[in-house]
Amino acid sequence: MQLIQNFPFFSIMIIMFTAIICSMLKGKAARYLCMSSISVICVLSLATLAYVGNENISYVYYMGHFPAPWGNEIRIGVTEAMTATLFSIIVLLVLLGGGKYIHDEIDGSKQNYFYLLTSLLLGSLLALIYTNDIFTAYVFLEINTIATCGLVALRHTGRAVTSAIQYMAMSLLGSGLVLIGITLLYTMTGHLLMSNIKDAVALIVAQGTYTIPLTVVIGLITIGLAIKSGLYPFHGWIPDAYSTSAPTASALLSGLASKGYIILLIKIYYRVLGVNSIVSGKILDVVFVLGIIAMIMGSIHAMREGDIRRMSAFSSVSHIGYIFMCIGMGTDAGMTAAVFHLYTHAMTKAMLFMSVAGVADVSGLRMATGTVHIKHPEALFRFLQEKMGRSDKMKGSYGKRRGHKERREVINEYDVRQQNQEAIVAGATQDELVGVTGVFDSTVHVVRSHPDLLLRKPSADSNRFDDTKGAGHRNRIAGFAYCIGALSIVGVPLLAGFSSKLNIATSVLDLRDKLWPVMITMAVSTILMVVYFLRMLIQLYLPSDKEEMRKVTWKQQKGFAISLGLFVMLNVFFGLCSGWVISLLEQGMKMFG
Amino acid sequence: MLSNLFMNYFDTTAVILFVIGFATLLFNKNLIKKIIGFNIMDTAIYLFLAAQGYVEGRKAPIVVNGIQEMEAYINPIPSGLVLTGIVVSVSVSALMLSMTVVLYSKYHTLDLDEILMKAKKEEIV
Repeated sequence: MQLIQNFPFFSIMIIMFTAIICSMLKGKAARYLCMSSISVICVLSLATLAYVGNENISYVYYMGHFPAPWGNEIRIGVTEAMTATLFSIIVLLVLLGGGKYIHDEIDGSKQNYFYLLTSLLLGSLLALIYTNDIFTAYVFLEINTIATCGLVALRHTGRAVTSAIQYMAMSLLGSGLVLIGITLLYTMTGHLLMSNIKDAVALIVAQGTYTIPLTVVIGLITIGLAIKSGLYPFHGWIPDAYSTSAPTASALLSGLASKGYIILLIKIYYRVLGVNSIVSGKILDVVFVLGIIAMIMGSIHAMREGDIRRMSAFSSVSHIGYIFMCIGMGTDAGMTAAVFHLYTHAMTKAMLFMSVAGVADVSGLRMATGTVHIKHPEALFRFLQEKMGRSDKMKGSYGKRRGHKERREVINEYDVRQQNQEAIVAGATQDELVGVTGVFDSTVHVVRSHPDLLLRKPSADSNRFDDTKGAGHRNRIAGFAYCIGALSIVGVPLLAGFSSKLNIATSVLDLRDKLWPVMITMAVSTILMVVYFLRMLIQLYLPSDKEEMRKVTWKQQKGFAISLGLFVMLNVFFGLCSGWVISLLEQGMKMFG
Repeated sequence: MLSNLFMNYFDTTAVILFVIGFATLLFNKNLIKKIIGFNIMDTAIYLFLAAQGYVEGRKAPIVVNGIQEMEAYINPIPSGLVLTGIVVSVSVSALMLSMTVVLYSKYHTLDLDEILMKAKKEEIV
């Protein structure tokens, strides 16, 4: 056995030991340890990819040199090595760029837990990619769930922990269903190693025994893994989890949280159940239909959102629908398209969430102390009428949305002036409203708040869509990266998203009955994505009128700039050299089963 | 079919317990009851799994008076899988309980609806 064949085993061991040692170190030391071990794993995975790509083999590695059925196995082929390389590169770049946000958002004493959970996440992903044993897969599935929920809950705000609990509850149902499926499969076949199960299942299908239990097993495992990855009806946890976690954690999760489960599902289809029994069952049609619904509904929900992170989270829901639709096609070309879309989505979403973090950093209210928003301007005017009494003297202008009529009222002790499309109310009382500034097509700003009105606290960074106006000028790196990410997701040529969508469209050309739904849904979904992504892009590059906002240059955030630059280059590489990558992937999928 | 359900009473009980556990997890507002519900759900699956190893009339694989032949013992593998599963379930319970502790120390209530309301208010004001 050559040394290079041990590399995947070394990767898993290195990252697991890194996780254990990180629990004992302080923040900075944990960061250096984590990043150096992930760099080592990137190099090892690239070497493995070169080895299996050149030799064109897929070999089995016996853990501890015990052969089956006494020992555990991992299996390494081109697809596995490529997935491992890409995922470790994504984690490395996100950690590189997100160092500042980890430092700001998470308590000092808990920062090493962030690196611990990230190492656990990458370790469980590597094990899910490489494993050849179905119960090992279940165990690492649970470790993946624990790592992702821990990452969401690590920022100890109330919203983050409640979304982590809701995520955990949905995920546990999925794990439960998968475990029942695995139990039934073990009872029917008597094996736990995937290749042995496949032979036994082929025997069962040939003899015609156990038809109903086999269908139930396929259904349980598929639905369980679909619940865990967030397919449409089970997507409720995605917006909450991605928008309330720390910015770096949301970048990691959006790229990698659902991907391990989808890779496991494809692996089970190829290596445990055999594609023949899957296609003859009806489960692929169910997955196909749910994927199509997810593509449309995700974008429809995203258009209504006012928070930029929730908007991107709903577009994640839509793209997971793309991947499941490709799986639902049921052909080899469809599975290759699904895996390629998985790669491009992981890459693009991580970059998108990192740039959103940068954009949110320079948005938000930065007025004088005590500036707040008013949610319902009618309440303001009613309050002013009541408190001030004399309604005939109220004067003020504000506009609710574009196209609504303005109201002009005069407030007694409050001099309301209109200045450059802003309504300013100034007064002198201490414990009531002392000043109000408002912008015409947004809500009204209040300088000193009153507890009766629904108000928003001033903050140095903001995720609201209205506050990000002009952020592209203030943080050029984040704006540029968001531009590339949004264009890639929409599907502009030269970028990764376009080659992925083209690949999906060409892979469905052979199927007659699924051709029209796929084409029409892809077109409609692309148009919907254009609506909200380009709206955000325009908002980013509008002229910025708030001169006192923070500006961030690239010299102040070198790690962030380098990381986003490398992400953009990776995206363009996948866009330009997609033919080479797809042919490598096809070579891998042939030996996947 | 009803006689089949009655004959495989382990599996029937396991599924009923699974549904009870999941309903508790989903419909209760109290966080501790949710955790108890999830534990019942996982325990039901382990009952299902352990019952697959049982063969009528045979003993547990413990060496007493020398090792007998293979036909004297039940299948030991499902019990091993259940042990692994219990470890996983314990880790998940620990994580959820620690999150409950964090929420309780912030909001002094165990009711999830109240916590959500207070958390949303905290964000706005």
